[in-house]
Amino acid sequence: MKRLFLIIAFVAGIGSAQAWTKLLNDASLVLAKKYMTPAATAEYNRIAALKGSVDYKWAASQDVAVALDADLRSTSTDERDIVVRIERAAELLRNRTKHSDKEVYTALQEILMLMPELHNISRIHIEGIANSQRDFTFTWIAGKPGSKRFEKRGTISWSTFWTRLFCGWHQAWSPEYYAYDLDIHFAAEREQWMQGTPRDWAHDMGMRAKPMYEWAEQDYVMHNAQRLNLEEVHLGSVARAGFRIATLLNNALR
Amino acid sequence: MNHKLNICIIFAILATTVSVQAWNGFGHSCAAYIAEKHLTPEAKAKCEHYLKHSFVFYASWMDQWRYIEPYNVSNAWHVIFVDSNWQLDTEDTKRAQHHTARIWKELKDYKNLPDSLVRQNLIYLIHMVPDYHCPVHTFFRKGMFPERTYSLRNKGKKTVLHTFWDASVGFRRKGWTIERYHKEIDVYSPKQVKKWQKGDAIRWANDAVMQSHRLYDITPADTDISKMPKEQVAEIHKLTDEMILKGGYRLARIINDVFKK
Repeated sequence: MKRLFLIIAFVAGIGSAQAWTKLLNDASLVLAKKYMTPAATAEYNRIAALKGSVDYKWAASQDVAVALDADLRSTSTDERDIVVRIERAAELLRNRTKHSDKEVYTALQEILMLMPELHNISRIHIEGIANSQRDFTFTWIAGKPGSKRFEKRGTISWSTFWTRLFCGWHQAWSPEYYAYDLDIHFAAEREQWMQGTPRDWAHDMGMRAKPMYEWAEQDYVMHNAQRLNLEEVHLGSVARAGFRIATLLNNALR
Repeated sequence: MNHKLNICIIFAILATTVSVQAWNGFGHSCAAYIAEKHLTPEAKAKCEHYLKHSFVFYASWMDQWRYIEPYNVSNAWHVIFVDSNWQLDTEDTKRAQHHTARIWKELKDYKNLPDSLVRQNLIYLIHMVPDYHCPVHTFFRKGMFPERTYSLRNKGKKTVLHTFWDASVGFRRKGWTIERYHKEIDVYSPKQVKKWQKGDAIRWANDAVMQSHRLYDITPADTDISKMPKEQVAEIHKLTDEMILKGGYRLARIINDVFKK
């Protein structure tokens, strides 16, 4: 039954979710670098120099998801599961001397791309919650409610909401400034968030995503205060991704 | 939903947000960043302590929350008004310059205020001070200057004068970051910065009123913004950059004063 759910989750998710923008991926990497050990940083720089830069379009083209069971546990062994792929990439980096440069570089790229995706609310598929396994559109309202001139409204997809909307408000920030802001904002939580493994982090994200589906559905009407308050969830996701990339690479690139 | 449609939705969100803001998001972010760059180390540390965010994070907060209770009380604090003598209306206590002066005074006693109040007051200042330096945020009384009630054009289509000037900081500066803006525009000498920082919230508002008249000369009625020559664009940037910098420098002056050793 569990295996059936995981297959359904992937089939439903393929092609619907989006990846974070380049700004968010870059910001999480800047944050990660701040908390990487000197040894991990040196290895990171050596591997990254093999090709020069990371191709961010790669992430957007990936049909991947985080499949969680009804208890919000990640137990998948499916090749398309984000957690499985992160674990494999980390394992390859740990044993990097036995692999080619190309394989090592690809593994690092997988981690840099998939760790943000592990923290993308719209990629978290929860068993028994149909809306978590598909993309849907809803209406947002901003501005002055009821005013012909100042009320603003529009529709947006669930995945666009979690990958494009909030960073659009800070589009003139550099990744460094985004990371600086996250670092100040979550200074108190950082140490706790850096603990654990990818499976623990998937569970954490399940805990954060699940309450959303008590209200999130097709044609939901989101008022401005709710829209604005949800940025906190988004920021927490980007910061977690950054801190945890550091944890993962500090362990894998010793 | 396909990606093209998603991108269209995002552009629609960004475009519609512009019309209800003063300086748009980019302008406010630039002004806040300029201010942050001119804070003393003590003031910066205090701001980080109270805000738990960067300075720039709150640049547009007042626009975002202006119609939401209980913050809708601040809806009138974004602008300054001119009286019938072309002067700042100092008797109107609902406007930005008055609340800037009030909060500045209140914050001087920040050690005896609840952290939440200090934080909220800082958030108001970060937006409000640059906001009333926006040339279109000097409001004339109804009927005072009918000759200034006109539209511009964009590729022939009517566009609102206010909307254009709100977004003028980023006009033809596609892809600029706040850091680039700071590097290229914040180039004045410390002496000039100090000169602009002199005075108080009322004097700065008077200066903003004086400068606001320039915009009507630079962009007369029916100007087509898609066809403006370089020289005209340079004039627009000269005015907007001066006002963004003044807003940023003066905001820094207040915060530095509040948190001085």
